[in-house]
Amino acid sequence: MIRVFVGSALAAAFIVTLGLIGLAAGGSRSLNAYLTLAGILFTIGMFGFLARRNAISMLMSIELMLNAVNLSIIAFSSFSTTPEFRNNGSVIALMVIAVAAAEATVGLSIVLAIYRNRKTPLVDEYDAMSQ
Amino acid sequence: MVDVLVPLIIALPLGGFLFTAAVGRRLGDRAHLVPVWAVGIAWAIGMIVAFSSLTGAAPFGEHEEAGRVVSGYGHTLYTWIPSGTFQVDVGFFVDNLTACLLIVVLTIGLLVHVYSIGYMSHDPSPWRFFAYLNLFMVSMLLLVLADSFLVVFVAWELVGLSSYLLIGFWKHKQSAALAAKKAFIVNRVGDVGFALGIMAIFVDTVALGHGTLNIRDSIAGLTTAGANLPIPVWAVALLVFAGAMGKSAQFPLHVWLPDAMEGPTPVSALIHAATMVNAGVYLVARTNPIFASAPDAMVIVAGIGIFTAILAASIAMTQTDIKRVLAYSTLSQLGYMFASLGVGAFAAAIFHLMTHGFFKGLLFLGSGSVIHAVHEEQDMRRMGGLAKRIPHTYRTMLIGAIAIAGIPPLAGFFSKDEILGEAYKAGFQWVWLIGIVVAIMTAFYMFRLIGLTFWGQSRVDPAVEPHVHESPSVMTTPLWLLAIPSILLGLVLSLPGPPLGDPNAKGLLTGWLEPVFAQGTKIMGRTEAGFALFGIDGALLLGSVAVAVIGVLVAWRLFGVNLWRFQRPPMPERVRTLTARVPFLYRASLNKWWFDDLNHLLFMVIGGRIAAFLWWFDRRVVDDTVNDIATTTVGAGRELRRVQTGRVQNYALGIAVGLIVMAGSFLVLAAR
Repeated sequence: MIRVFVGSALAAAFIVTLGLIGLAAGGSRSLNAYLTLAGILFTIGMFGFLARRNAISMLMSIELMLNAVNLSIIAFSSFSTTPEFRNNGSVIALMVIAVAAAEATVGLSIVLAIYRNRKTPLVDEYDAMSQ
Repeated sequence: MVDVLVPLIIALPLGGFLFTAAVGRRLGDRAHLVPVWAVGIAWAIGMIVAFSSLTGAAPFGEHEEAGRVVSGYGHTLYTWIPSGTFQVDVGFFVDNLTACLLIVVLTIGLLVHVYSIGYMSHDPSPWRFFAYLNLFMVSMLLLVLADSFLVVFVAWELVGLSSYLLIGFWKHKQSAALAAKKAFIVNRVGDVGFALGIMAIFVDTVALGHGTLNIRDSIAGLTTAGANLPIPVWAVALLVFAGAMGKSAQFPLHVWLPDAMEGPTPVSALIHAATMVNAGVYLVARTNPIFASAPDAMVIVAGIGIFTAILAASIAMTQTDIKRVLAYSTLSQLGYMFASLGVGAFAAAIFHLMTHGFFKGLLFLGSGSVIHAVHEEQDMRRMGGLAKRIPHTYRTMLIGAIAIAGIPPLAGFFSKDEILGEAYKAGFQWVWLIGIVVAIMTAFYMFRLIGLTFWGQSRVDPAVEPHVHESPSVMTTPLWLLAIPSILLGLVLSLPGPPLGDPNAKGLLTGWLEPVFAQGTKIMGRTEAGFALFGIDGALLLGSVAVAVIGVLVAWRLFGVNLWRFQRPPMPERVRTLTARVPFLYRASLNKWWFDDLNHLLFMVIGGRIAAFLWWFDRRVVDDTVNDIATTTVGAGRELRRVQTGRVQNYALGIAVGLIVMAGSFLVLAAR
C-alpha cells in the first residue's frame, strides 16, 4: 500500500515537474516545450529499455521512444515555416505509427515464441549466444 | 608436294615416338622396328629434299619473292599465335644450310638408330630408349627446319629435354642422373641468353615498324643499313651467341658435355658429338648477317671458340676414359667451328660441322663397340692390344682418328685446313697460331687413344680377356657406313666444280652455301680470293699437314705401334718422365683445369652460403611476419570475444552510448 502511495506521489510530482519545465520552456506556443517533453519521454523509454529485464516491458519502452520521436516530428512540422512540411508532417507521424504497430506485432510474436521455448520473459536468461 | 614432304620428315619420327611411347612396353625386343623405320623413311625423304635444294631444283633454287631474289623455299603451315600485331607462324624453311644439316642429322641419326638395335639389345627397356631417340630426332629436325625464332626456341628446349632424358637413361645410376641434371641446368644458363636475344629481336623489329620473329624477315630488318635500333645489334648477337654457347658447350658453359658421356654410347655419338651440339653452330650460321653487322661480337665468338679449342684439347691429352677423351675432342672441334664463324668463314664452319659430325659419330660408335667388347670397361689403362681382337672396330676407328687428326686426304684435313687458312687470310693470325697448336694436340691425343686402346700389350682384366669379341654386324655395318664419308666427304665437298683449273672455282660446299652467307659476306666486305696452291694457301696447307704428322708421330712413338710389319713397343716410362717434367701442366690437364672445382666453389660453396642466408631470411623474416600477424589476430579474437556477451541489453547499452556520444559530439561541434 505504501508503495502505491509513494508511487502515486512520485508520479504526481513528476507530472508537476514536467508542467513546470514546460512553462519554463515557454508554454504551449513554444517549440522548446514540445521538444523537452519529447526528450524526457525518449529518455524514459531508453531507460526502460536498458533497465527492465522483462521483454514485454522493453517492447513498451520502444513504443515510448517511438512516440517521443513522433511528438518531435509533429512539433517540428507545426512550427515549421515551410508550407509543404507544415501541411504534411502528420503524414510522417502516421507512417511512424504504422511502422511501430508492425514492429510491435513482430516483436511480440518473437517474444511469445521465445517464451514458449525458454519459459521465461526475462531477457538476461536468453543467453544461448553468450560464451 | 614439297609442302607435304618436309613436314613429313618431322611427322614420321613424331609418330614413331608417340607410338613407341604408348605401346612400346608391350613390344618387347621388337620395339625398335617402328622407330627405326620411321627414321629410315624420314631419311629417304630428307635426302630427296636436301638434294633438290642443293641442286637448285624448283621450288628451292633462286627465285623472286616479294621483290627480292631469294634462294630456299619456305612455307607457312599455320598461325600459332595470332595476337594483334604479335603474330607467330609455324612454318618451315629449307635452303642449302638446312639441307646440309638435314644430311648430317638424318644420316647419322639413322645409323645410330640401327647401331642401337645391337647396342641396346641387352637392356631391359629398349623401347624407352628408342622412343627418346625418336623424340630427339623430332626436336633436332624441327630446329633446323623451323622458320621462326620462337619455334626454333621450342625445338631448342626440346633437344635439351631429350638430351636430359637420354643422358639419364640409366636413371638408377646416380652419376648418370647427376650428369643429366648438370647438362640440363648448364644448358638453361645459355637458354636464358637465347630467350633474351629473341625478345631483343622482337623489340628491334617492332621499332622498325613491323614486329616479327620470322628468321629471314627479322634478320633483314636488323641488318638494314642505318636502322635506329633500341637494342644494338651487337647485343642481339651476343645474346644469341650465349644460347649457342650453352648448347654447343663453349667455355665457360662447357662443363656439361664431358659428364654427358654417362649416357649410352649411341646417345653420345648422336647427340653429344654429331648433331645437338652443332645446334649452336647452326644458329650462329643461320643468323650470320647479324653477327657480320657486329664485328666486335665476331671477335668475341672467335676468341671463345679458339680458347675452348685449346682448353679442351689440353684436357683430352691426359684423360683415361675413352669416351671422355672423345668428349673433350668434341669440345675442341666445336671450338674450331666457332673460331671459324668468328673470323667470318661461315662456310668453313659448316664444312667442319659436317665432316666432324661423321667422323666423330664414327669414333663414338667405335668407342661404344670397344666398350661393348671389353664388357663395359671405359678406362683405356685396362685396354690395349685390341687391334687383332676387334678388327672392324679397329680399322674404322683408325680411319676416324686419321680423319680428325687432319691427315690428307681424309675428311678432317680439308675442313680443318679451310678453317685455319680462312682465319689466317682474314687477318686473325692469332686464331691461326692457336689453331695450329690445337691441331698438333688433336693428332696427338687421338693417336694416344688409338695406341692405348688397340696397340701394344693387352692390359684387359684377365677375367674378361677370353671373352673379348667383335660386335655383331648390326653395329659394325654403321661403323663402315660412317667410315666412307669420313674418308671421302672432305674430298668431295671441297673439290671445285667441273671447269677444273679455274682459279676462281669454289669448293662444292662453298658454292652451295654461297647464297646463305652472301648477305653476311657482303656486310663484312670480304672479297673472295681464289685458291692459290703455289701461294699462301699452299704454305698454310703444308703447315697444317706438317703439324698433324708431328702429332701423330709423337703419339706413335710414345704409345707403341703395330701397323703391318712395324712393331714398336709403347714407352710408358718415357711418358712418365715427360709428364713429370711439367707437373703443373699435367695436373691441370688431368683435373680439367679445375673448372668443376671452380664451379663447385662458386655455386655450391659460395652460392650455398647465399642460399642459406636467403633461407634464413625467408624463415625468420618473411615467414615469421606472416605467422605473427596470424597469431596476433587469433589472440585478439580470443580476448575480444568477451565483449560479445550474447545479452540484448548489453548491445542496447552500446547503441545508447553510441547515440549519446554521436549526439554529444554533434552538439559540441555545432556549438563552435
